[in-house]
Amino acid sequence: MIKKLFFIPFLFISFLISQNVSSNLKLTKLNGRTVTLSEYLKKGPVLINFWATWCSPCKKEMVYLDKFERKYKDEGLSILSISVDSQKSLSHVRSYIRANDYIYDVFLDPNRQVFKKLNGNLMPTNVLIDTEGKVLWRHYGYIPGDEENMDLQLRSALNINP
Amino acid sequence: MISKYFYNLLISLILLPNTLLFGQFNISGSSSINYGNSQNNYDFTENLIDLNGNWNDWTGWLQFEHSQPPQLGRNYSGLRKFRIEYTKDDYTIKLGDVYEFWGNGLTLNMIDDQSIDLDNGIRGGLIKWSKDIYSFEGLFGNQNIWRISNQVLGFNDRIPNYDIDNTIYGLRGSAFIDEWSAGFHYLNVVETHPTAILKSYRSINHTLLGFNLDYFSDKLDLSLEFVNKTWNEKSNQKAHENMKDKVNNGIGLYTNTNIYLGSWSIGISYKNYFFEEFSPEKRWDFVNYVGGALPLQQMPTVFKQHSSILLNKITHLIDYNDELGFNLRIEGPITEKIIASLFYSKSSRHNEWILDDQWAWGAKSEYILLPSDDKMYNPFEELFFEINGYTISNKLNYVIGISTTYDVPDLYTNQYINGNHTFSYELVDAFTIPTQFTYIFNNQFSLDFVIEYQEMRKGVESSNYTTIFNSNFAKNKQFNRFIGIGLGKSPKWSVTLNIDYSNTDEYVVIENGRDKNFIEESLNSLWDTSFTWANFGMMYNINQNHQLSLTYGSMRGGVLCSNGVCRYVQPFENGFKIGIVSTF
Repeated sequence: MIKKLFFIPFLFISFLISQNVSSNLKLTKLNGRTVTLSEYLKKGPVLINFWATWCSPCKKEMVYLDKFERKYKDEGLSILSISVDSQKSLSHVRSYIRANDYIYDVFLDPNRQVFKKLNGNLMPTNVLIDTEGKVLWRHYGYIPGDEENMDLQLRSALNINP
Repeated sequence: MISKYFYNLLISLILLPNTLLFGQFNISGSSSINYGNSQNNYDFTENLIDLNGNWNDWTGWLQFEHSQPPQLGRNYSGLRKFRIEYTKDDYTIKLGDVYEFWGNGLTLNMIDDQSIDLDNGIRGGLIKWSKDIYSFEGLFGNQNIWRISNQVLGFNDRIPNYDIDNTIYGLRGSAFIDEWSAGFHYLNVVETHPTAILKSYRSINHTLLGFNLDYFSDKLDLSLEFVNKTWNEKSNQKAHENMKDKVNNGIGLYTNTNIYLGSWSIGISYKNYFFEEFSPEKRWDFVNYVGGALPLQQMPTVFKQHSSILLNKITHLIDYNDELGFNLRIEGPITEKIIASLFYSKSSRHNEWILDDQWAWGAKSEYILLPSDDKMYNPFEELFFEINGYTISNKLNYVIGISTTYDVPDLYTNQYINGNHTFSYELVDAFTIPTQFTYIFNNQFSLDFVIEYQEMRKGVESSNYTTIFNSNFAKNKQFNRFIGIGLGKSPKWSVTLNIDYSNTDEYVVIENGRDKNFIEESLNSLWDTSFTWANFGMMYNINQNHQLSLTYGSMRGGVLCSNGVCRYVQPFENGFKIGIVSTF
């Protein structure tokens, strides 16, 4: 029992420290080429979204991510949509994006290495970071209506008054 | 007495504030705590802590685990994974636990997926140099693969009982020219393969040589990958000669094409995996029969990965050693708010296996390039159609699917004697309607309905003059329904009631019997709940860094699939699960 309770201190560490994402983080585009996160951070805040073609809540959320990309693109926001589909279902990723006419940049992370580096645990995972790489907001899962809170967080990151 | 694991963890906790004080390091992490207790002893305590750090051009990763026992897998307590990475200009160096993928995964695709207890990563190193359009990398390391087998002592469907050690060396080169990219792969794997009964080892040397070629444009994607695999046994143990099958040179071919016509896309994938030719009785016995596809080769399955609960339970089990097939996909918007998708998949083995009059298996020497419908070739066929859209001022989201599945997973007998053809095989024939409806209210409340229906025939079909079907179930046909009702209040909480029920089940489930929980008892007035598994769950977002989930009730056993790999998971009867996910 003592061993089980030993993990409880970790629940409180998050209140004490702030999280940062390395700007050197390398992301793999759909065509296999790599790009570093710093290229996006130059433009403004970045929302990193992890999803998969087999994840129903992720797909519901992506509709709103596309709306935010269209709405805040000119304000400097970049939405990076990272598919954790394994090689087994990877062929479906681009056709799904095309069919839904999503305009944000899509990347691949088939063995979930970027997902783990950003402390992903559940699907979908969203991480909003500022131009310095500091994590401003993080959210696991999707409950319909979460997009309203996401919009507030994006506005705050972009310094747009409500 | 404090264990080594807790000592390591304590050191990390002491170091953490010190490194933060210096301000040069960025450290973050996550923890996942899962605890479950059930009436049928499906108990688990699973704790994982990941620590990620970066400092200038360096990044590091530590993962601690304390699982006694985990949901699937072996008990572990201590530092499970670690890696240090250095990236500067054109160079990347990784030391520790390395996970990479090459091309489409025909040669190498490493993943750590604890939900299905798949970990095919290596402990070693990688060095990569990339300059403009070229890149080269080399990797080396050791791999320890644990698997579940009934061919060795200690079989348990939750705990792997058989392990293989591999020593790996690999090289990869790739180039990008405009819309084209190409790569070559070389991999050498020396496998230390324990025998089933004798306390001895076989040493197998595998060599994989492959290439990939890809084209990527707005109108068209093309992908081609080929790998040639050879293997030989290093020792001269004559005792094993009779265990060798005739092929020790295998190939894998995968192609994928997507054509884009506006928002519509048409995709065709083709697989031809022929790494080893095993007779039906040897097909899944990786302990006694060596030389087949390696766990490192996690290749495209070329059939749809479903999100439906009932469809996932009848996922086709791919045989990477001997399978060919194709998948056709058409996807696009019918109207502005309705997306339609059609998937058709078909596969089979390369040839027919026949029992001679001495009851010994032999393969027909006719090999095919397109999948066969003949039951003796273990055919699989699936047609899936889905529409997904929004209505009622975008407040109602609906996903409605329909699927037919036909699978012959195993061939038991197949004989031609005196002009008479006798055979028997296992058959799965299912019709499934998965649906999902989500209604969003104005005040951030939402209501979710998941309703799935399935009719399934599963059993042995055999013929000796007349064809007879012997169902695996107490009834000829199984009718499965899954109902999930969820209420959510964004962004804080959601509650869900899941009911999985059937009219019958496989004999082993009926013989074991089961007790009902109070949810199942309360449903008794609506239908016979002998085959009903019900649970109630809730999820609460404590804050943006902590999520709590609780589940009470029963969950039906069956096949659990993730990333195209499936495991049989035993039922979870009348118990509770607690999960806490935190980031820091």
